[in-house]
Amino acid sequence: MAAACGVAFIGAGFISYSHNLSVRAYGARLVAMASQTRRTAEHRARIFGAEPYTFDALEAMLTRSDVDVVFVLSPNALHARHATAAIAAGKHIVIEKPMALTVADAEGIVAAAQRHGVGIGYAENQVFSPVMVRARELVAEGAVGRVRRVVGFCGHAGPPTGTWFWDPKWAGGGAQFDMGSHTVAASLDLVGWPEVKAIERAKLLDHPSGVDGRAEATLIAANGIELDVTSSFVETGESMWYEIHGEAGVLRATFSPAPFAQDLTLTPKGGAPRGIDIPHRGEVMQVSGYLRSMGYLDQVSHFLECFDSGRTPRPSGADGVRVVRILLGIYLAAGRGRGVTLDEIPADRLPLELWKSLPRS
Amino acid sequence: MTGSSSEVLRVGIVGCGLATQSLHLPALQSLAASYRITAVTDLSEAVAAAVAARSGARAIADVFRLVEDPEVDVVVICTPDAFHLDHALAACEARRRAVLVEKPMSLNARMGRALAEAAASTGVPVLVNYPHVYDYATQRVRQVWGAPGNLTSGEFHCFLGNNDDYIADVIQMIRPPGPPEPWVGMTAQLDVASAATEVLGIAAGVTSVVGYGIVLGLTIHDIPVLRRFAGDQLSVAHARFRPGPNPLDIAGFGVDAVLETPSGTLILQSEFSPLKRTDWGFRIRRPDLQAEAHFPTTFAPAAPSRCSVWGAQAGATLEQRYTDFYETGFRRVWRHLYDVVVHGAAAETPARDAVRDLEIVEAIATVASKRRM
Repeated sequence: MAAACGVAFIGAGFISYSHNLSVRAYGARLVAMASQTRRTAEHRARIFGAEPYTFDALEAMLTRSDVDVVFVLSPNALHARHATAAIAAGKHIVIEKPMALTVADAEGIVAAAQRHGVGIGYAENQVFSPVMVRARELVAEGAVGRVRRVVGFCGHAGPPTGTWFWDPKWAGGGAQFDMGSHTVAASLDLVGWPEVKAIERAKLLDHPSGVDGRAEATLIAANGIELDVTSSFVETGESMWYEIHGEAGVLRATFSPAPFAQDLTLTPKGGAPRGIDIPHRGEVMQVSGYLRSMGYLDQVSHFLECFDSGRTPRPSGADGVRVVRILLGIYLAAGRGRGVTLDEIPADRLPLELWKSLPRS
Repeated sequence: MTGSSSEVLRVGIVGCGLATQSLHLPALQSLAASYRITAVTDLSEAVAAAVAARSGARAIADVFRLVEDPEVDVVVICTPDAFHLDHALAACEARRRAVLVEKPMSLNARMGRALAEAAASTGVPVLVNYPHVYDYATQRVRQVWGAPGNLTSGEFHCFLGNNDDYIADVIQMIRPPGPPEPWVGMTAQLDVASAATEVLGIAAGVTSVVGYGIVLGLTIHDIPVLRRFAGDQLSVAHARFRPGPNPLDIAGFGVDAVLETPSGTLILQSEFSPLKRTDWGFRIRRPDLQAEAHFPTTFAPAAPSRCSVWGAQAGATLEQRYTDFYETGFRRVWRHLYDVVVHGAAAETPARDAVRDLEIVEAIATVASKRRM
């Protein structure tokens, strides 16, 4: 697909830069991009060398014959509408996290893709980062023995003030929803995506914006692994890391600040910590290597290769649904003030409704 | 000269940052017979209101409303580089009588061509503000030099030191209230990275993206000046990025380039100097003539440039010096623009010609990025 592949973006925000550079690195071409306002669409499209469209005239962009893949990069609340429109136009989609605001919407996207025979790549960039890929390999090889627990932390000082990330209507939720989609997906990925049945406990901290500013949750996977995930918009600096605790040792993977703080350290039980080499470490002073360190480069090439060959991407649309279900379970557990099983989640409820509006029980 | 005409052009200022406050405002206010500032806009409404109060203009919140305002004849674009194209295009579409856009005209030559095409199709004169093209020292040397060409040797340098004390104390810079938003700076870096990798390729060094930004923002001052002496048959024989202590920071970052012409060789050096002293100027030679120019410090509304010219005459060497000329390129570009709008003079730095400057930016950065640092 490389040479012939045409890409369109729905959304022209901050993340569009990483995707544009990665599309260019793959050899595909960004031909069109859309934003809420004509001014923003034109501004970014001029810089990227693409044709601008607006959200209220998406049809014209989605019916372009030179567009093969549509990247859904719009605010969270618009993902479902934009994804289903692109799928209905017969395009493969890459969809940013979190996939949708409700379980029903996320499932609707996957069902639509099945009906139209198109692929979904769920854009969890962290799992494509060489440090995380290597960590996953080590765990699978038994470097820490049988895994008991994953501890994940993703935090920074919060998205820019005044942007949709802080607005419940557009973001759906705060630190747990937007940042926590990383923490949950990457923690699961490290241990092979075990099925999560229950949220044992969850604690969300209020932020004046109305969304949650910080969140802690403990998930219980079917194979007995406990996942302790913390996600935050109220840190002084950016920090993202994971620890995999097994019977034979602990593996710590530092993802961010990427690329320079990235690190992989294995501490065998009763032994001394030792650093593990991270592939492609020597390339991070290249733009492509810098993008690769954050996962964006290999994410886009994996998705575009899968669409070309007909393989199912990993993470897939189904993985995106699983993450949304877990995130909503965390809001429900925080709202109930107790542990919940994922089959308790009302399919059509929004994260903040589950947290704040349902009667406590 | 402007004094012979009574028409006063109404200026709308888009972006009220450092260049506007320290250079365009004093220049325009000193040309009150030719210009009146009628409208200003800025991302920060507080800054726009304060600059409006200083200039007697109206503050207009939306840049796209300002460029269409019936009380605006001429628009000057002083926004961050990545927005120059959007705002200049809007001024062309609004059929203003002229647009002055700060250098660089845009982020790469492709984007520059879009503006040149809009200027051509709308008939709106779009001038790029290169203060050193308009500086008295450059203009005086050009009068002696004549047509471009025959250059055997040239040395252009820009070692730019900071000027914070001057900016704080003398112009009483109005800054947006509150702490700077870090994401704005990150977005600006990503804009440069997007434009630079379009030219250099995605495997380019991260340092090359910083270097591209230096060539685009700093070296570009010298490029249109050297073209006016060396001509346009230029090739980049050598170029090098010299990162500073932190390779991702512009502080101490230098760019060197060697350009060849059919008759000679030019050396071009630019650097964000850690020293406060700014050293900015050029030396050029051809068989019968030698000249040098020294430009004033940056962001000074009235500071002298100087130049010297040596020529062979009657078996001896004639030396001429020109000093103490306090009119900056910023004031002179506004006088020139008045001649373009009111008297139909040919623009000195039209957008279509500035595309060539951006092509040279790309050529220098391409050669430098391929060299191992």
